[in-house]
Amino acid sequence: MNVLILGAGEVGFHIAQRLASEGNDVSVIDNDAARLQRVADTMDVQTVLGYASHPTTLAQAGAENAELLIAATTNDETNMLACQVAHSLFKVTTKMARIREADYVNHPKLFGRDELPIDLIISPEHEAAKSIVKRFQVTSAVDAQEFANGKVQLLGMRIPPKGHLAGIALSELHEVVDGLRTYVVAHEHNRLWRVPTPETVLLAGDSIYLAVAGRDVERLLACMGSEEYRGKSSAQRNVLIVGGGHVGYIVAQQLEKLGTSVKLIEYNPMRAEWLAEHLDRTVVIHGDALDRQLLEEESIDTIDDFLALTNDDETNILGSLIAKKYKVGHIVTLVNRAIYSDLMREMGLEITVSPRLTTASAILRHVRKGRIFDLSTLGDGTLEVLEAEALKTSAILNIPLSELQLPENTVIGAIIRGDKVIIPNGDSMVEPNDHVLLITQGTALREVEKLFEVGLEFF
Amino acid sequence: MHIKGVIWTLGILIVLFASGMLLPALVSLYFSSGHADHFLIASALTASLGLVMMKWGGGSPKRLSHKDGFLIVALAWVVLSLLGATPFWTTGVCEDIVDGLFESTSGLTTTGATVLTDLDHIPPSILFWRSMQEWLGGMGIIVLAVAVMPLLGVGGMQLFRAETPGPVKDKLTARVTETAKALWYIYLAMTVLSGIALWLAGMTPFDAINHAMTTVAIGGFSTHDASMGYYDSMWIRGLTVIFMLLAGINFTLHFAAMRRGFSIKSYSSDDEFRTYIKWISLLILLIGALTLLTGSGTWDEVIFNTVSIATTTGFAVSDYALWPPGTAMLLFAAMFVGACAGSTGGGMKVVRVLLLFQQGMREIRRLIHPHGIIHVKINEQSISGSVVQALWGFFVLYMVCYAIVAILLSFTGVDMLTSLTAAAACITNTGPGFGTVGPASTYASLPDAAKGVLMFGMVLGRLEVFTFFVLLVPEFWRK
Repeated sequence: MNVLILGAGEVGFHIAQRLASEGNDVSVIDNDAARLQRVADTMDVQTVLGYASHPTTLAQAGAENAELLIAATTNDETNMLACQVAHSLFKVTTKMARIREADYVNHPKLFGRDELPIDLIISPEHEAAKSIVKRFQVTSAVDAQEFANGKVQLLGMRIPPKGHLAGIALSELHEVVDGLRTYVVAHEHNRLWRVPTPETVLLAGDSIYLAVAGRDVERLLACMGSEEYRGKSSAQRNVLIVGGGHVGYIVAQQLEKLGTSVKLIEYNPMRAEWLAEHLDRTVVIHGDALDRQLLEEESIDTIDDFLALTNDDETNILGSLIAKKYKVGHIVTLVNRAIYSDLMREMGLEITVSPRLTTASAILRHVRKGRIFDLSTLGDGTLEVLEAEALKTSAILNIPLSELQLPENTVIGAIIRGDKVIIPNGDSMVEPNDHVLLITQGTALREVEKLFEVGLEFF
Repeated sequence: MHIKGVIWTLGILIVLFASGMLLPALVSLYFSSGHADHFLIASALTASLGLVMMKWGGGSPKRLSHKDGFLIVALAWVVLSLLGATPFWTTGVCEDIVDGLFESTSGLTTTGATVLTDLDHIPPSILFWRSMQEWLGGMGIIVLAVAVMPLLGVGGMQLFRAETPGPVKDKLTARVTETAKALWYIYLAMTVLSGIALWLAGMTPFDAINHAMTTVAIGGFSTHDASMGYYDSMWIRGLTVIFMLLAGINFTLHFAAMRRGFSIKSYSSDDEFRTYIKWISLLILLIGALTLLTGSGTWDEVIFNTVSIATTTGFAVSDYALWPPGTAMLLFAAMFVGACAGSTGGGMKVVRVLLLFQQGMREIRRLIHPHGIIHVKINEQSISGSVVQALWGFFVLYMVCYAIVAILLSFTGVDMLTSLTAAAACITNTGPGFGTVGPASTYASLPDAAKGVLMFGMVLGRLEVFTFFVLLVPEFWRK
């Protein structure tokens, strides 16, 4: 496939790398020669220096033959215009644009074949903010991911040393959770993530992911009995956000709606003024988040949630470590660079958010062929989650799951039939047009994809 | 500065005002109560002055600077107050020159303080002229002029800005003439509605028209000595309360609501409106508790009098000076807060008090968060530092003016309670005060010098201090 990527920033860089490594012909356009050089040095792609929305630049990058255009410059208007140019002049089939400004995104009428021809709007900051707020609402979980519009959630949690989960086998889990339908789809022991079997025993300090219907999340968390946050609803919590960039602003806005009391520390005085003007009840503080005096002034020791969301990874990590020293219960760290993501566990920071990864997976999801709708990763990335539609030709239909031969290290975590969610047991069967949530090891991904690809006999 | 343009504009305002004097002449013809000739004479005198000024001014000014705007508005209010007194003199209702001036100024500024007694035996034409003056002054005669005379479109905004009350002045429409028209249409519609309602509730048509004009203008002149106490009807009192409250709301808000089909939400989402309602409710509760516990009044009296003073109207259904002292202090405070900005009411305006209060809270929050960035906000919009500063300037000047007026009053030999309350009642355009100028008496007993000082206070209060004071600064006159 011929792919055109506009903008060689964090997002553009990462997507180019992924797509190029999967064997696509990628061209990257940027108006910064140094950034382009970095791209050219790292991967096998064509680079074009120029302004992303200019027709000549696009033509030079081979827009006439491109099937996919991803406009990921930092400027919303450039991205939108580039999509229009690619549509009108070059007839590029699929166009995706990164749009940050919520005001544009909130008007879906703007986009369409005869309007602004954009097939997919990506907003890294929104994706990241959404997942932060999601986690905020289920703090006893380390991670929370939504699938099928929130009908199914995958909750990541640690087995606490003295809880009633420690020491039980998965086959006994249903007794602990009070008969609630849930399915453990991933298990980590000694940093090794794998798909568990019924015999797997949970030990204190292990991490697991549970598939659960969206409406049962509250009850499940109550059963699991994480003591720390019991009784503190969103409205009663004190949140300190560091960094008032796009992500910080959106998160503060969302938390305000939940009734939480929020403080936000921003370094840039102009931005701080802007935030104070646009946020309603949030207390905006101008200063350095790594300044001990400032943190104590704002009584960091009474904070329930510390969200480090600046654009600077180092500040986020150091800030989170300081918060940890003050025994803040729930710390979220935003990290962009892959090298840090691996280090986080060592430093004792468990909850990380990476807008770049979230965005890249949102785009890749769209690019993948077949009937695979959603794709994300669990744990350190060795396990992948897929939401796929079981077509009439699929090989997995109407066989009880206990007898179904799935590729190695693969489980079905949930079946979505219309509006219904089925957390499966051995007798459950997949019917045509069901959506299936699969968890699989990265190495088996190809095989799983094949299960859902449109079969030859279909044509 | 364009002196000729200023003179011409004043001239046309005077002519407009003179034509207004013809209406009372018609009223006296209708009631055949005499005085029609006197009104015609007054009108002719006034009109000829206006025509001379227009002739001298030479024609519509090509452009007006903001300085000209201030000059025209300030002069217009002084000159029209002066000319509005001519009918009182020609008809002989006020034998004293100062009394006529006082009545006229009090009317035009919608204060509603009166020196006339025995209102029930004064010719209807005079009563009508008093009410009509309040009505003209309520929405602002210059706003009216901008609305009906497209000639003034050029410098319209300058005039408009100098006359309408409030810290922030919005144009409702693209053209200032349209804005002025919209405001006057709403004003007119409210007056007509109020008139019909009062008439249906049992007033005579003449009384209904008069009271409609003085209610919607938040003026407070009545056609009876007992003011609203003359009517022992719950309907009349209730309707008057509703129309006083409505007229005390920002007309911009009425306009916005009208465009959205009168949804409650366009009102309830406004911070100033919510504060206005809460503030008046709180006053009613406190005053009600004090009054009812001591048995000195009834609920309906409490509601009526409180709304009347809090909106700075000045009607009374009973002598609230006889209520416990606590109520007097509350009503005194209510005068200063006044009605909403952009309404026909007086006082400092609810939005200003709200902003000052928020500014105070901001300083307290700053002590808790030394590095916090805290904005003063109204309707989720930050109010810029310069507006807040202007507000402080306004507050200080307003209070200084009040103090000066009160002190000057005491120099004329008026006792302390009367000086303090009369000064407040006039500068906030409310009307009745306490002491010898209480709701049961008039301003007639005050010495002439005191009346002069109070007239000055009324105009100052109506033009919200700045428009008037800017003329007193030497820099204004420098080229």
